[in-house]
Amino acid sequence: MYSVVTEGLTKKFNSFTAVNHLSLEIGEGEVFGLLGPNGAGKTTTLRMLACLIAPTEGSAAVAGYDIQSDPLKVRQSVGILTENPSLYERLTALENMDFFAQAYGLLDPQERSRRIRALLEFFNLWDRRNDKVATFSKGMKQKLAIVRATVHKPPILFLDEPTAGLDPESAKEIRDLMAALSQQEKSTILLCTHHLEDAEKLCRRVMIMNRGTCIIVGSPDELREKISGQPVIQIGLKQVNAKVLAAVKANPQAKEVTVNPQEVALMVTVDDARSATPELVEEVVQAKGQVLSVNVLRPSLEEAYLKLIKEENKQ
Amino acid sequence: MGSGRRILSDFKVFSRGYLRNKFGLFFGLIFPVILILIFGAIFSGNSSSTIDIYTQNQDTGPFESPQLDIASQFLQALNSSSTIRVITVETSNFTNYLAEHSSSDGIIIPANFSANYLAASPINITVYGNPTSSTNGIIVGTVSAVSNLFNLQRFNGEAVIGFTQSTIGFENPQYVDLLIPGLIGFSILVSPMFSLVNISSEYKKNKLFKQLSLTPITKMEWLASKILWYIVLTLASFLLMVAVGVVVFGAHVNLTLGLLPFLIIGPTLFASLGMLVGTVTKNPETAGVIGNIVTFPMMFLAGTFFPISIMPDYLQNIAHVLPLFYIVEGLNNVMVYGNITGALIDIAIVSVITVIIFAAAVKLFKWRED
Repeated sequence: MYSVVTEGLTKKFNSFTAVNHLSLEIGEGEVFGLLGPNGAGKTTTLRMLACLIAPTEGSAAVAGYDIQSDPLKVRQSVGILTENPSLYERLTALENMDFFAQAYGLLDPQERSRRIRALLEFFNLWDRRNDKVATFSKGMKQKLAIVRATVHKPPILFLDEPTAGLDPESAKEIRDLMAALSQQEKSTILLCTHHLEDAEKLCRRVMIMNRGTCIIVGSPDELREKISGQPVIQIGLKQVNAKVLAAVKANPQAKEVTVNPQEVALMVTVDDARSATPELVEEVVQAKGQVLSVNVLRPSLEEAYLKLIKEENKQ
Repeated sequence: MGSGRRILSDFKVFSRGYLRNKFGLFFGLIFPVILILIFGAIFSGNSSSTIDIYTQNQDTGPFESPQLDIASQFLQALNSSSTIRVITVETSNFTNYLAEHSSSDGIIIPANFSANYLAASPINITVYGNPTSSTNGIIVGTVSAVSNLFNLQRFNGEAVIGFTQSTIGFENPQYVDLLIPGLIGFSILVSPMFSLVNISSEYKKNKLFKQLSLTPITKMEWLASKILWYIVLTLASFLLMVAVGVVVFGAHVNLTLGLLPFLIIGPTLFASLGMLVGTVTKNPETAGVIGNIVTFPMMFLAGTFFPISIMPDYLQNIAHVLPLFYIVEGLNNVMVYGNITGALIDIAIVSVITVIIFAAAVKLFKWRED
């Protein structure tokens, strides 16, 4: 069962195509990341799924409800964090949350009060509950907006740049909440972000978008491997000599061997780092080489992302 | 020299910013022009129309010759003043007649006017009027001038013809009693109108409407809650105004259930109109300017502070298309004249306008954006 399914979802603004035939499936309880540069179509996709704007073509279902024929059911099933916190500035944090919880249908006062308290305490905002929102910092408003999006325990969350502009501590709090919601409440989360750290730490799968289309979908590990090609094993040595070099080159798993003189290390390209690493280390030791360190080098998701976007933009 | 350049440079940047601020432009340049146009049109002597005044002539004769009908000559003299036009009515209860015609102005020429004038016996004309109304001053001034003329012609200025001023609707009227309907009309207009113009454009700008659209609240429900609030606020404002009038000025306020429809439908109308202005404009500044352009002329032309009878005919025609005119007229009908038929017509017109404006506001107001 999928929480979100889109098929050929397209949005045009006059002659500009913001999202171009996007198809994706997000499973129940999955944290799915939408990555891409500014203008890639991430926010437009999210706005269509939240029924804020109508698609030009294609279809989508959220929590099993069609976004065009059942927008009210869709809204009742999702919590949304938009790019702007948009709170009642003259009301207190508690008054804001109480209003939105009621608006979302959380009518039992005790349950509402418990839920709001738990979320405000999670973000260390309980002590400021009676302060007007106008006195809050940007980060505090962002946290309140996340509380609002989650206060009615929606099964699906759409979060647009939840950690944008936040300090590292606040960003971590928000990531922790997303992880907790995913694990404890089995919430499905669609996360739009340029913060690759968020995607790497939270998402089971990510989609990289550019110019309205999907470039690639997969887990962060799969993307790294697909984009960067074969892994490289870096073997740091006390000294590189011809005997050690020959022994490593002789190993059938070593596809390419180079010497890194600055690091005093051998750089060995292999197909499968897991099986090749012990064999290569054994070869070096048998050739009387003195091993100081062994690292399997993979590009970070950020490097993979930048490489991919650069290649895409060249086309 | 350096200081002069700095002043000039700051002058340039400030004036540029000022001219780009639509509010500044409105209140600095457009608002004074609106005021001069409105007040100029209302009070311009050349364009003022003649005031119609109901008159009961109780001196019906018989007279041996038309020259002895002094009462008719007096009325002709009033007509020839060009400030008032006498409409003679025959009724047994003159004050009821005035109330039924929603008029506070009237003249009674007493019986035996002609005989008393010829016999140099004192004559007392009754002039009805609303002391807060500027028409009253014109009528009293005209009656006084014509009386003086008649006294001068025959008695060397001795005050044989005199007059007493009276008011219908209240036994001991005070200025504040008669000012209240206009002030209630003002309150019904201003608060819902300005607030909804501001709220609807600000919420649009701050994306609060977008947030609300994500909840199951509908735009109809949202607008209904705002209207409910402005009805409550108008009722509170009305009670406060009455309390201050009674406690501080000893006002006599005619509290009747007939006021309620105006206190409910009035805020509904102007909250919807404010919402409509806020919806069709692109940003809060433009909304504020359009809101002011709609509100200020209505404030002065609908009979809130000046009776429309003192205005030229074309302004009176304009007043009749302003919804506030029917609210103020209806409040006067209920509170001053006790003219229920007139009030029912007013509330019917206001209701129809309200339904149209409300429907337009709901139709044009969008949660979603494309």
